[in-house]
Amino acid sequence: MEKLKLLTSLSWRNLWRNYRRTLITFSSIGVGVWAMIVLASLMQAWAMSTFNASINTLTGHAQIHAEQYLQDPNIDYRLNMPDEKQIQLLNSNIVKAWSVRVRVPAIVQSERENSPVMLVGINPKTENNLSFIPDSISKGAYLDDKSSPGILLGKKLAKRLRTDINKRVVILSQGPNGDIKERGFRVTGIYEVEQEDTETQYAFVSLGKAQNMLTIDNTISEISFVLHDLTELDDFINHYKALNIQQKIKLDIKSWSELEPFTLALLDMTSGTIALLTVIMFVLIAFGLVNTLLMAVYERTREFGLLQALGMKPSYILLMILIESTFLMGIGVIVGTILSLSTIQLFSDGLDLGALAEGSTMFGAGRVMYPEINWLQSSAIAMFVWLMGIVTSLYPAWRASREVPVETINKAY
Amino acid sequence: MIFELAWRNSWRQPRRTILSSLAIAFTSAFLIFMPSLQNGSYIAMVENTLRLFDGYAEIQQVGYRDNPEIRNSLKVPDDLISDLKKIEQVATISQRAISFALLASDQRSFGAQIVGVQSNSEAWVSTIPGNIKHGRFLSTDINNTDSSEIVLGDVLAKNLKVAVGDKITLLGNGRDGSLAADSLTVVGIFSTGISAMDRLMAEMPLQRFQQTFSMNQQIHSIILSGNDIASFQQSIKSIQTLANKYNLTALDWQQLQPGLMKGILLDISTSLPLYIAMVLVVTFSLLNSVFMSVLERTREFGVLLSLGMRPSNIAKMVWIETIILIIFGLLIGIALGYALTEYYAHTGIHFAEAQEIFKEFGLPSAMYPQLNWFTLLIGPSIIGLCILISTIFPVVRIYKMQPVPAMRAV
Repeated sequence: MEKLKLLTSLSWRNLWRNYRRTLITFSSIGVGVWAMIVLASLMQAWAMSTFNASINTLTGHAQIHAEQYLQDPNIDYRLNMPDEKQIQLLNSNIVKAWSVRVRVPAIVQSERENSPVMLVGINPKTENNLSFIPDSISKGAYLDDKSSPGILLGKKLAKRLRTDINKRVVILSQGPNGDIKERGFRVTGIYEVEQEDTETQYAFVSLGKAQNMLTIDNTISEISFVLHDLTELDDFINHYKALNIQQKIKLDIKSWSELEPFTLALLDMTSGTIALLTVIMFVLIAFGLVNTLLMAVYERTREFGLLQALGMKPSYILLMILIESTFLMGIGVIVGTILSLSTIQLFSDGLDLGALAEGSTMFGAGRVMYPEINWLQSSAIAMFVWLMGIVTSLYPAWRASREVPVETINKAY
Repeated sequence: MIFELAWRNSWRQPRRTILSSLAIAFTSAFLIFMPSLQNGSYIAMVENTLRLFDGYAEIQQVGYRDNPEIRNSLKVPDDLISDLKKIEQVATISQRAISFALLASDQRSFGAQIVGVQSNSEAWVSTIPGNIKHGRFLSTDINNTDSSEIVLGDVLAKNLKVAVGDKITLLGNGRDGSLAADSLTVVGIFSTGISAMDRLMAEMPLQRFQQTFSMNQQIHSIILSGNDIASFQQSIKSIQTLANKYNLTALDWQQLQPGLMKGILLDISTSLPLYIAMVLVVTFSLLNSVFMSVLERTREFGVLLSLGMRPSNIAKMVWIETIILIIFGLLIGIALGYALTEYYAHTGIHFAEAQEIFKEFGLPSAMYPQLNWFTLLIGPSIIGLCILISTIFPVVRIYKMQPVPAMRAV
């Protein structure tokens, strides 16, 4: 222990014998680590933006349907309203919000044009915190309650239909018996979202009016919910499935990852890319590090010979170099990490992609990125670079410990 | 003589020289490979997206793009097609008419985008005819207006519960506001991988479309295509002039797919910080190496100075040493980067797991990096330049040296 302390202070002093070299090495490690963590956080923010957009676009953390609905999203496959026991489960405090919906394919006709659309009957109150609809009304008003008479259209769809607030549109959709149901709605609100595809895809009416028009009584197409904590999702889904088995009803409950495999794949790809870039960046830092340490070892060959001649064991010399590299890497990594965290903090109010936003929405993400400090990821990157740096320095350290005393003392410059 | 000195100095510490060169080589190889890969994927993305449906350019009625109404149609001017054919880069021309309508099978009815196409030339401007999964594409006899054929996206067909050979009914509004109704036979089902298309799109012969929707011989779009987008772009000005002559408008690919170019710019600007950081890291580590080599030779330089060598000559020697290092590193790096890129340009990089994502963005599941002079040389030159600039610091140090204290330095 005593010896370790001695070696540590020796290493520390060695580091500052050539402060210029040490500082340049710090900068190199620091810049590398800084870039990795900031970049990782930006990529993560981008992936999260895609994830949130996908969750907000009606998906929720999970959805419950009648068994065949997902293969064939048709009016024939409906659910009864959740019964008391299901409501009890959905109202438990881990659920942030849940809502029931009717969702059927339809045609919307204005006086001028028509367009295919997904007609969604919603309970306006319970969509809060669950989907984008309540917060996206750009003109007119949101629906008031379960039996509001109006319809909400996306901005792009309204434009395509050449319709506007207070004008009437006709919705055509298939009823449960295969007959075509038809009903007029007054446009009471226009919604606007970042993904233009969504604007042409959905039209929203109140749940009551949708059920009434389709003559499906009090049945629904789906239940969607979000939890406060996504990590509890699997447990919750299992609870729900257990309840279904107990009640002997067959429901199809699917998590977001099954509903949106595309989003899942994108998230996986992002983590993969981050890992790959970290390794590449590390290799680059390693070249610099090995070079610096090797130089430091070679120019001190005589010194190592002397130390050995004075009775220092080769293993101590090895340890000393390792401690030196631990300091060298450590300080560089810490400085880089602190810098990167403050850079991320700088952007935490949102990084507006500005002119590039259209490209971002094309990939399903938002216009503004919100990079967050991800402690787990940042420390993983930092620790990886640090540890691998120490491993890399084994070679120069081993070289140093192999110097033969007499030869090296006599070695002239 | 100075060059010879510098050359010998470089090999006094072969390990350091090799390590430093390898750092340069590794970075430049990476900075050749990555931009080439990006370049290749951009080209693939643009080509695949455009070839799927939009074509390289489209001629439409002014305002149709913002207001794709059935009434915003055009009558093809007699000379326009022959004038277009005279433009060398325009390889194929096809015409389309588009409307939304309700498609109904025995059991189901769904809204769909109905596209009237010239079935003999559609395959040259769009990959939908090549993506038929079941059945076949529309028969190529375009003058046969009796042909009641239609092809559907696979999701649409599934939703309608129809298969090849089934009859479906089309119900919509004609151009003059009249009812458009027709009974059609499904001859083929296509799958593009783009969910919006597979879910919403159906194609039928243009002639039949014009009859059904009372189009009165009019169409909505003239689709132009060529051999590749880069060479096609050279002709876009003359196409636009031609379209304007007939009071029509020509849209180039950036207007047809406005998100695509922005997406590419976004990708470039997110990868730039990474590249900058890599160049910085390698510059720092090289600066360190050159600095050390100068400092450890303080005594030697003192001797040289006192023997009458001018500081500028010593500086020149250090410059040459650095340049040798850079050239050595860059040569290995360029060779490595070139070999790696060319290798993968032939075999392709396969992303089996990310297939879903790539499909949605119009990319094939294998990516082929594309090397050009720009991607080959830009990275390495920036690296070389940055290292040269950073060498100023150790060189300044040489000018500050005084012969006697320098000789006494340890």
